[in-house]
Amino acid sequence: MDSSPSHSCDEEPFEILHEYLDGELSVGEQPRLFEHLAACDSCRQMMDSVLLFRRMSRQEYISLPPATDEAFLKRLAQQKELSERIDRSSDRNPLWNARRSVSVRAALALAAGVFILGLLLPMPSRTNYSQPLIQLSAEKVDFSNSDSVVIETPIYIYLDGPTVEANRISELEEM
Amino acid sequence: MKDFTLIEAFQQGDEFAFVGIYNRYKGGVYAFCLKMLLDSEQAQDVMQETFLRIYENRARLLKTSSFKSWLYTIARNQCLNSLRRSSRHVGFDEQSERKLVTSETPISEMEKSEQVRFVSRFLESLQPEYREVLILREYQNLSYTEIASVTRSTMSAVKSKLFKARRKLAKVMEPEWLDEKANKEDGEPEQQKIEKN
Repeated sequence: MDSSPSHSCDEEPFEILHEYLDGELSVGEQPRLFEHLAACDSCRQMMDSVLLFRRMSRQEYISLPPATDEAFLKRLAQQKELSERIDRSSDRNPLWNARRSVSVRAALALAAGVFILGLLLPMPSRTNYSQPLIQLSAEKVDFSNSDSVVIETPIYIYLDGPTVEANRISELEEM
Repeated sequence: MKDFTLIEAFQQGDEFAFVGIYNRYKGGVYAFCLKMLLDSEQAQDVMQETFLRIYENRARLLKTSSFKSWLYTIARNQCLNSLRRSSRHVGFDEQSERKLVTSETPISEMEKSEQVRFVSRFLESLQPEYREVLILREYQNLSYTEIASVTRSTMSAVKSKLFKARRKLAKVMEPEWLDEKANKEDGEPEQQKIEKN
């Protein structure tokens, strides 16, 4: 027998050898393999090593230690207890501390509700139109008095809103 | 009772059906975990964890024949997590090959325990991706398709890994052992040879 440690056969016979060893080779293909095995030392060596390994691995009887079942049933009972226990901790917390997960659909519905409510509510007026925008205070000018000076330049009144331009003289004349 | 019946009963709340599933598969799952982890305590823990996950995910239990694959997929993932945590796996190298072949005792005179030790050392010397394929094939007797399903890979990848692992095996097997085995089998009745194969 060829004692070379490495397998030096072609890929195909090598593959069908393993398929045979694993019970996956069809009966029709088996004669071709046996023919090859008769002539190939390296494939025979490979087959022997797999069968020997299989025999050696079956020397060991693997059994589950008896205490394992008990330990498992205990763990299972603990898990069931944990899953069945009702969590009351959230009941003791005030509502504003409660953190709940909200679905996207609920969040969208809430946002839409707030938007519609905002449309329906009356707009708050920022300016009170019942009061006059400009309150002029009248100033009496005595033209006969040479000490009083009439300024011919316009007077600008800056208010929160429109700017009003007026001629001081004309306004006074109207009054 | 068939797996399908047990799973259906379990999904409907029959706890005894779950115990039935556990009793049916605990040995196989434990053996797989033991050979993957090569540590009895860890293997017990991972086996228990696997069945606890089955219990938790009862709604997702598969009622088809792929239940077994699904079960071993969970066990496999748990084993890989455990190996990752403990970083115990050893890559296959020349040094580990030499370490394996230390005994010059003929195979027929080797104690069973020595043979078992050889198998364990060989498995330990393989990387987990090769080890899992070999264990699922040799210990769990899964088909190539089932192994591909468990390891989430293709059938050609499974074959490639399995063949590679066996090449390594052929390298570390003593040639004398194989000669001896061949001689011994020549003296055996034909019927026994067939049964062995």
